[in-house]
Amino acid sequence: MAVDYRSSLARYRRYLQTVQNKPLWQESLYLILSLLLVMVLVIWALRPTLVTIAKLLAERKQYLELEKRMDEKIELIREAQNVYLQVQDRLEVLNMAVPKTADWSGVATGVQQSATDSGLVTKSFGVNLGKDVEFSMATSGAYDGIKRFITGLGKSSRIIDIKSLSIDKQVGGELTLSLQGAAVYMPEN
Amino acid sequence: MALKKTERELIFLITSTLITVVVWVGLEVYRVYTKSLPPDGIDSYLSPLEPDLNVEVLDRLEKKQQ
Repeated sequence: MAVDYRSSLARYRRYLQTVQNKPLWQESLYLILSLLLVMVLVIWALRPTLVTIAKLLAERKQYLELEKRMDEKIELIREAQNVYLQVQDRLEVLNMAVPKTADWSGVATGVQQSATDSGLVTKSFGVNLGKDVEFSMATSGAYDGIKRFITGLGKSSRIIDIKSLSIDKQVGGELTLSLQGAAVYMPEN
Repeated sequence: MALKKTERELIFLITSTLITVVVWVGLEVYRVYTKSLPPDGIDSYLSPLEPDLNVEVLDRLEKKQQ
């Protein structure tokens, strides 16, 4: 049987051309499909997962930082508690010096009573309630009485800020004291 | 064997898009990691506290009243 080399060669060339073309198209198609699949996976699967992981990691980092700051705050509170326990019995002095309420009537009564105890006669007395309990008064009496009165104000359990003070001598030799002062208070928040 | 021009362009387009998507996802992940907000109302518990008390003031007040 004679072999037809020419026709076989021609057929083989056609086969090679077909084989050359087909895998290349298949490979590029697979590559394109793979890239599309990767993109879809990145957008719909990987992205939410990575975002969730990042969120959880951020929260963990944040809570660790918060825990550290909380521990520091707790330590400071413990220190403050120890300090408070040490001075607890002495805090009444502070409460009396700077009370939580204005108690303007207490100021008025106390100051006038102090003036009377010092031998002074109160001519006028006015109270203005603002940030502090501001008062103004005019009294008359002897120099020693005025001195005792002002010293008494300085030793008052409630802090009294003397804004202005003037002493005038009247015709009869009597001294008149004009005084403006303020008693502080600190309302609770 | 060279790829057809259309196929090359298509692969280039898809690869560029994929890179863009990866960068986008990366940036979003970075944003989420760095921009998390603290829980509501936590700042009120973390306000600074000064534990020291000026005892000298108490001494002066007590001395003043004596």
